[in-house]
Amino acid sequence: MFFNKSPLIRYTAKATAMASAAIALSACTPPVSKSAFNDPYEPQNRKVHKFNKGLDRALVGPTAKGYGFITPPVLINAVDNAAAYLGLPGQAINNILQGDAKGFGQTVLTFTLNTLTFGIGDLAGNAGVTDNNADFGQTLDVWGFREGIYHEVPVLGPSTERDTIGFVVDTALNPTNFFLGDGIGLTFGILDRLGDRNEFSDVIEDTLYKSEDSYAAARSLYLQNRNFKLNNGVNEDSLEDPFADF
Amino acid sequence: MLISNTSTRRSFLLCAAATAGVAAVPTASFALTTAGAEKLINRLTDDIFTVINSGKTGAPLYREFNRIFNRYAAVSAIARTTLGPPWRSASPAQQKAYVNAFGGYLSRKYGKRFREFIGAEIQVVSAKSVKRGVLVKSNVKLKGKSPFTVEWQVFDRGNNPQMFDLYIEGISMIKSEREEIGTLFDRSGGKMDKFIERLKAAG
Repeated sequence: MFFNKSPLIRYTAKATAMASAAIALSACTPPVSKSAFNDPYEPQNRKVHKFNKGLDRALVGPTAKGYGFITPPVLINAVDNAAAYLGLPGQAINNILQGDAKGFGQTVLTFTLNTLTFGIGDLAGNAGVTDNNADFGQTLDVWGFREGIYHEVPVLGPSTERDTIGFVVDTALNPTNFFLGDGIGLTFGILDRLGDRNEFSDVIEDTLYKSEDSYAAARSLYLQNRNFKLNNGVNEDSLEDPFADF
Repeated sequence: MLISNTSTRRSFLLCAAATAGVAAVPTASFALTTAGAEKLINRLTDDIFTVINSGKTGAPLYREFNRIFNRYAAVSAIARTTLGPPWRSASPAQQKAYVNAFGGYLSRKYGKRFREFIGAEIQVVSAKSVKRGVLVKSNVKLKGKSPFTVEWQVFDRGNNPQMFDLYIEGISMIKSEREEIGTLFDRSGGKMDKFIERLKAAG
């Protein structure tokens, strides 16, 4: 039938199926553990962490530095902008799913302005348009799904159940990947990550190679930073008590 | 100097005027105001950036940081909260030695980190009263990088506002150091003196 061949319909069907699967999976979240972090699979996670660290030392770190060394900063910047630009249609969908009209307006404005530069510039950012970075992990949070267990994903690094489901759904949900093919999104995604690994190499290497326990450090940094982003600022209830008595 | 302070001062004056009437009302039972907390953080960041941009490196730089830290921050409260329960079982002499070692450790660690901030601009944007003091929000702009948020938790220590915790993009200094200090303590076999010796060499 004609309808079955329409890319838009096929896209909508795929996106709906992914979102439904995510919701079904989120319902499986095991109970919260008793430690400070919900990390019941810590021994297995530590093995993945060791693998990721080895990967960073042998491949990702050196590649990122090589990429940073041979690529002119202007080009790295253009790649970063393009990667962010390709994510905007997906971001707009998450704005809608979250019922965030203001965020949706920001995303559309960013997309419109940056289209003028073919996606490689950031006119919107320079004009002061706020970047809301909505993703499906956040959408699940807005919908009331729990964070779930913490885990470290091979290659990708620290995550939670909710964020990993979010990542998978975002990849499927993003119209760019569907209409331009997965290759383009993946390529820019990888280059963007290499650029970040190079730009933040001091912080990343302090965490991975200089901390007393890099697994615990990475877990703490990830969860705190993620919470900050979901909350749009530091959660007041999580502030330390200067008068705590032990 | 590279810190843009004009609008900061202006907003500070506005906030001071605005909070003058409100400050007496909130839940907190002490005299800490959002204006007082902003003033503290403005002074603290002024001093930090003067040192960062002075070109000092190594031990002299860390000494300067330690001096600033002791002047504006509640070092013993930070050290105690970071260590947690083992604090109680330490003798007063050990507690004192630990607080000193902790101050030096933080100055070295953050002194190294802050070197990346040469030429950066920092601006205090807002402050709000919270249950555990005042949270002062600032934006840091580094050339060619996206701006990021640093929030400062200020509390009242006997009518004297002091910095307690800082959050870089939501990452708490105390929470992060608790992991580090805890691991160091465990690796010292839970022995306080050995732990203090190791802390003096860390960071």
